[in-house]
Amino acid sequence: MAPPREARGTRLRPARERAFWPFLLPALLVYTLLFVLPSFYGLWVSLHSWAGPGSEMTWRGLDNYLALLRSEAFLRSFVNTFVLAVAGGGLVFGATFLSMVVLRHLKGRAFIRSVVFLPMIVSAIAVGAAVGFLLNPKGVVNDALGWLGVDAQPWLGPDLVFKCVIGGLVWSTTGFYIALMMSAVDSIPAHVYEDATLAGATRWEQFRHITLPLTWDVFAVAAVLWVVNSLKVFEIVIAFTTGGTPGTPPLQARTAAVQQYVSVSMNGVPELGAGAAMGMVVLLVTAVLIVLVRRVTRRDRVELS
Amino acid sequence: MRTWQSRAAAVLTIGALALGVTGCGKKNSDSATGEKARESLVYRSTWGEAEPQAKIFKAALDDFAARTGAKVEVTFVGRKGGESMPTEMAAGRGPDLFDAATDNLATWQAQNLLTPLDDVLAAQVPGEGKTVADVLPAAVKTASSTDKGLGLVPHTIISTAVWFDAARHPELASAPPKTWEEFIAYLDKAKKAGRVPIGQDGTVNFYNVYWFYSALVRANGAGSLKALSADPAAWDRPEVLEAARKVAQLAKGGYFQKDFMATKFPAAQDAWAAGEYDLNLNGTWLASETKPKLGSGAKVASFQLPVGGKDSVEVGTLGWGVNAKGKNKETAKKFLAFFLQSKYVSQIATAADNIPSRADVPAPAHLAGVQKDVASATATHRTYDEAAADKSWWNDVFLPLHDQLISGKIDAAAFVAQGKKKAADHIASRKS
Amino acid sequence: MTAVTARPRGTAPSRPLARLLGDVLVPRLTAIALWAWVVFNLLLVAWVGLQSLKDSGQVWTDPFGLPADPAWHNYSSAWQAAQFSSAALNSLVITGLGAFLIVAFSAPAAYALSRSERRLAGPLTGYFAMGLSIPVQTLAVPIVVAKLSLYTFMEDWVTGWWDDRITLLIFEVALSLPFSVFVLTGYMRSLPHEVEEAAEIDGCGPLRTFLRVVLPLARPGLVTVLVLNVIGLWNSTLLVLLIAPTPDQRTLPAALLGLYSSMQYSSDWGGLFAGIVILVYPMVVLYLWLGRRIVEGMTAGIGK
Repeated sequence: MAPPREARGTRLRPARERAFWPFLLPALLVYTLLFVLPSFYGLWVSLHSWAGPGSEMTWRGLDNYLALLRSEAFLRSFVNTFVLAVAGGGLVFGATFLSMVVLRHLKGRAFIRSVVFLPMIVSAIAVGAAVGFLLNPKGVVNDALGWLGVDAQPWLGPDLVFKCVIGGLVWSTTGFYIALMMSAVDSIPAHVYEDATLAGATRWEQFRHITLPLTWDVFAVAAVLWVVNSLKVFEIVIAFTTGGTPGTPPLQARTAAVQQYVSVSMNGVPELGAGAAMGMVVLLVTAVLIVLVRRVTRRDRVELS
Repeated sequence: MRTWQSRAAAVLTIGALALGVTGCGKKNSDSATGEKARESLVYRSTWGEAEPQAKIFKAALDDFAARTGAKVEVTFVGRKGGESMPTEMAAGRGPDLFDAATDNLATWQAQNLLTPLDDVLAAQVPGEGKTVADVLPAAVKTASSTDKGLGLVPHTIISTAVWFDAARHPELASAPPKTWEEFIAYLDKAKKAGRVPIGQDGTVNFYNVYWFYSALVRANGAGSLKALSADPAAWDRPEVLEAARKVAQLAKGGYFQKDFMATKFPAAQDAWAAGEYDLNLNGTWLASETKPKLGSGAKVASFQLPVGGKDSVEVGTLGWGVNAKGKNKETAKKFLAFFLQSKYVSQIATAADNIPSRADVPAPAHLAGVQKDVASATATHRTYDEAAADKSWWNDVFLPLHDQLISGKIDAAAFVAQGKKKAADHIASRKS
Repeated sequence: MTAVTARPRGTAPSRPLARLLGDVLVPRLTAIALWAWVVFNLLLVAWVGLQSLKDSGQVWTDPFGLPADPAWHNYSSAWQAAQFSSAALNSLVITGLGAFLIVAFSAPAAYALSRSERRLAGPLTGYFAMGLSIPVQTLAVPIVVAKLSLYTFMEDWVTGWWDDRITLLIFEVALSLPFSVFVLTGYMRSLPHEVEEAAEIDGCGPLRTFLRVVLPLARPGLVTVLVLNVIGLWNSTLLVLLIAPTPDQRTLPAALLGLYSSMQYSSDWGGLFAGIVILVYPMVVLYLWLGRRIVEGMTAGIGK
């Protein structure tokens, strides 16, 4: 990520360079020992069959991975995660871009930005608890649809629930990306837009030819953040489906994180090897997706000089 | 292997904390030997503190502590709090006493966490002149055992039945359906009268599967469902298709409430309790769970799903296992015999609205029928016929497939064909 | 000036359709949608608050009405049923201490990375950023193992006792480091160097310069990272369920989940909504207080 830029006139005094390691080391140690090494340990576990400390760990080689490839539940959860990342990403950034067209000069824009961000700070568990209440077959949403003359929908049924999950996720996270992108928009000098208005550019054209190019770098990072976060989606699925019961969510709604939780923590002998293998596959996919996103969003840097 | 892991993890953590204290070398617990004189007992319970069971157990444990002088430490962690417990117990960190049930005995067993409790059977129930073996019915002992002997000491019997409100439907109380045809006839009649015959919390897949499981195992006896996870050829048996046809018939007949697959638990059972639906196929805990929603005049009653054949009755138990790696196994066993006194066990009926494990302690009125079914059963089977023990098959393969059957997405033949293929795939992936 | 030279060619009156679309339809509709969204969010927050004051019957029968008689007891029953009191304390301590530690670890590191001319600085920045791409799933199994081993190790060899909440805190901090270091490094790069150089000329050591000059300058970025971490830690659920799931050790979201799963026995829906309020409203208040500042540091940190 953020590539090291050539220092702009930075001349480091020797004193400051001497502080390099003392300043860096605590974070580096914690990160390496508690984050990076455990990841490698996960790799090791994924090559075994294991029910946890105290039980015997037997070598399986790549068998855990092969079993995953044959497991319909796992493949399904993977496709779901992918759909979530792509469809959800389209919706999130579609809404973000549209907001960028208008939010620069809309009355009450600061207020809008704040309130739209609000769902981001609400726990998914709380959202799910309230949502189950709203989306039941005889719940409030269907009542409201009834007034409008629309048929009641089985929102939380196996076929629709994942769409609801995506909707809920888009609702709760778009505010973050709007806030992020808008703060980039804020740093574009006003005179650029004034010139464009004089030249007769519409709002949409201003967005297309000024805002977007000038915030593209932030978007590239935001897109990576979205990919990373969408691969972790967990709570909201549990909350929309089985929250409150020891049951397992329907295959149609399982994400990779949920599938892993099912194999590691649900009733029954924990299958830590399989769980760790899933973690490794997710890591691999994350890496591939990040490379893809960077590829797609890469272009020459545009700067106002 | 074990030492290797602990060492690896230890190295990891030492570095992590940058404490560098490996040199200290003296095991702290060594110094604590002085306090061994007093008995103690640690119980971590997956019941919620506010539930009646928790109150009953707490009171009994207090009595036990007062009587024996043992130091009792109990925490009620609720269902979500118990998820990492097996892992902790396996690592030697768990409680002495834990909640176990028929349907998870195999899991505990597989992790070597069960202390065989056969010697508790021979123990005297304090002050009653009877042994534990005397007061527990045979089917209950079977349901609480593994192939290594008694695995848990039960306080509660659970089973599955079709529940209804006898005050609203006296005809079901006087003449419950005796055959599948009579059952369907009843459903048709209810539907024609404008009622919803069956309430089903369709988002809970392990409640949905009650239909197929009851249809198959009640007619064909223990082992008939279990076989489906272990042997693809078992799917070819005609009775499997027959049971699947029954479920498909229910799905097709529109006997469940509209959009039941989208019902957020516990909306359907609450609505059943409020009288919106006639029937609910569920466990013996249903009435106590829905108590606040039951009308004051409600008279909950039940009948067994009529599918003919062996007429096997589900007998499951809830009780306690003793941690094989626990520090106070003997004290734990003593408590188990202590709790089986009728003054405690009877509270399972009176305070917790469930069927007590002792045959000589009467169940609450609405469960008397099931208690009788259990007592008079000529054949019994365990909860889910132990098919849930292979959890990746159960959760990842079978329950999703059954959800498709009960929601009408696939027919009985497709269910059987896919079930067979998926069982074969699953077994192959295990071995690979 | 690439962007501006790409300005559209035509003049205003000759393109009524483009005008209509680009100046009227798209902006208007978007504005309406945004306001609808705002209203929806506000109503939702208010609705949850209202629901929490109804008794369990009214919650179902009259979801949009005002509470007949404010049922404040919902709060006490929620507070007790799921042991919210200990959960609230756990949440406060873990969130507060965790967010502080995260900043305490990541700010000096970010400073070092952003200012050093060493060849290592670049790859090390990338090394931290790599953590962004490691999903928590990869770590779930090692974390469970480490938690158990750490407990045994500390109890047997070091302190004689241990508490899984400490393990939780340690891992929450470790897992938040990549994002925080990443954002702060970006932010610190955007800061002018002159002031600190002046401080050094005045004879301040690196630590003094950092504390007295750099930190105050970087305050918007620090606030952003702090607040985002506070929100993240407050809502973190999976890690809590894996490491410290018991009622006395868990945090508020896990307690709410516990309350949620006991609904089937108590049907105390008013209490459930009270639980949601207890979990959500503190963050809403914090956000109202600091919300504007969250965005300030964000672009500089992430975009540059």
